[in-house]
Amino acid sequence: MINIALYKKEFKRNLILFLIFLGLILLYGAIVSAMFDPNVDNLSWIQSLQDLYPELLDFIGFNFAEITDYQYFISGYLYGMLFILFGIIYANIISSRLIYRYIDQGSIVFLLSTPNSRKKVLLTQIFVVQTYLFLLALSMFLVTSLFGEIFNPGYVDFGKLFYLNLSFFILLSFISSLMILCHSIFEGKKALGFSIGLPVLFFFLNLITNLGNTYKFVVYFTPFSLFDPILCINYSGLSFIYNGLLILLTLSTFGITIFYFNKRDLSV
Amino acid sequence: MIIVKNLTKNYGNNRGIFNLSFQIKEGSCVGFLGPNGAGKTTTIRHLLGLIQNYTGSASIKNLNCKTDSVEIQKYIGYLPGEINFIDDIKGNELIDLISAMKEMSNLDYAYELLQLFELKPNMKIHKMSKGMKQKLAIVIAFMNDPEILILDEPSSGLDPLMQQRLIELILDHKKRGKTIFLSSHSFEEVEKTCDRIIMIKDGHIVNDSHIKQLIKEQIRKYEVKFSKESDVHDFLKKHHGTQVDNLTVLIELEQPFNELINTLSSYNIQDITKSTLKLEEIFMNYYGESYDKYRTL
Repeated sequence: MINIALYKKEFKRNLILFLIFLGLILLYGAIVSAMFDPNVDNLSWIQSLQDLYPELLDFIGFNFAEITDYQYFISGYLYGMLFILFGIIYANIISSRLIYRYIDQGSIVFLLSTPNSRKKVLLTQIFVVQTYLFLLALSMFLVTSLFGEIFNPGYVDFGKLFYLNLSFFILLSFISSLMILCHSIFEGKKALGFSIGLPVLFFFLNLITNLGNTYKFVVYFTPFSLFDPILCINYSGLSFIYNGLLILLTLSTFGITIFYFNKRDLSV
Repeated sequence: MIIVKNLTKNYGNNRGIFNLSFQIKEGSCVGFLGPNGAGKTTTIRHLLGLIQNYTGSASIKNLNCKTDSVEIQKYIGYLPGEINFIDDIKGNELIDLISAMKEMSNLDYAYELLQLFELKPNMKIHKMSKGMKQKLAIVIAFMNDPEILILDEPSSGLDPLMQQRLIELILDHKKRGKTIFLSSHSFEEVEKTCDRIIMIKDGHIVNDSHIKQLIKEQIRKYEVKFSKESDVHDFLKKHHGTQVDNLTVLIELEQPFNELINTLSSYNIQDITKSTLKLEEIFMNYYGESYDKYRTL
């Protein structure tokens, strides 16, 4: 199904990029974990912020419904916007490196000049992308849970945080599948433009849905609405349905990508 | 071995290839010549299964180039016309990767080739010169000692010494019965290595013949050196010819050789030399204006 030699080489080739993002996650994860304080009296600054700019906080997805619960605090602070942006940026950079650049520069011809089908080569690259996205979500889980335990022992629910990050990985997988679809079937700037433009558009549509009931209908136009951190940390049944839907969408998108990639002309 | 039948890929505006048909027998070495944009690389891409939407057919070893490209790749060594490696890895890492993907059991021949081309691949590809990248691509194409070699402008970027080594390498593979399809701009390379030439212009084959036949069919030319300048002027008044210098005239021989001897017998002649028609001149005869443009590029 995949070529192991190519998988290993690509994993190694993209390790430094991952370590850079890991550094950022460590930095932000540590700072935000340290900011949590279970004593509600010490969190008055958040209350003031919520009183002053409630719409702004809603728009950027900062949800502080239960500020004394570490899981709520982390999901509101990091998974409303910051980690999602990290995830989108990382998914785009890595899928560009593994698919777009190969096709655009023509380097893929060296891989296809071996007895390996287009499907096998593309699937290998997709597996590398998915491995790194999983590792990204895993490091987010480890950083938030370990720092949480260090700074505030006893407040971390490892199971909930793991499920939150697993759901986040499922979302990132789908977003990356859209990027890979664009990279595989379009050429040049069109491929790059759509692969960046589409997730950014979906992300901003999701932010609009936070602005109140008037804009709630927008949830049907963005896959980000299928990732709800609050539902995840409560193990809500709806979150399982959303995850299942995202997995189905991801597999379908990869199926379409492979189908069209096999059919397209490669001017390389 | 390689069979192309009515192969057509139309990109619009008369770009592409149109109704190409040719066959390459096992063990032969065929040159594929044409100016830029003539359709050489497009044809090669069809053979490798990189182009999927076309009419006509292309097959290698009775395998369909469109549907059986994985099987075909087991027999092919391909050198692309434009070398674009992923450049943030080292040359030897790329050799290791491609050899693993080609399921090669050992790298002995790859090391021999590295020595032949004096290439030390233990450096990042983005730091390599154009010539070094070309050598690396040659090593990758030849390293599994394939039955069929498809080489798109293989000497591009190589210095004359390395070009000569490449010619020797191609000749060695030819001697060992390999089938070689070589697209080139280097006439010397094609003349020295190929038995047959297919010429392509604007996506159409304009000539397909053996090199010896091709040269034989062309007009013979002779350089005649006169003793006196006045004889040169007198000769040119009565006969066709091109003055090369004060005493020398280049004559294209269209009439029987005896007639030329009779004509020249009335003059005092210092020397007569047969001017060997190079493949390059034959090429110019076929491509004319478009070749002149190509030369100035």
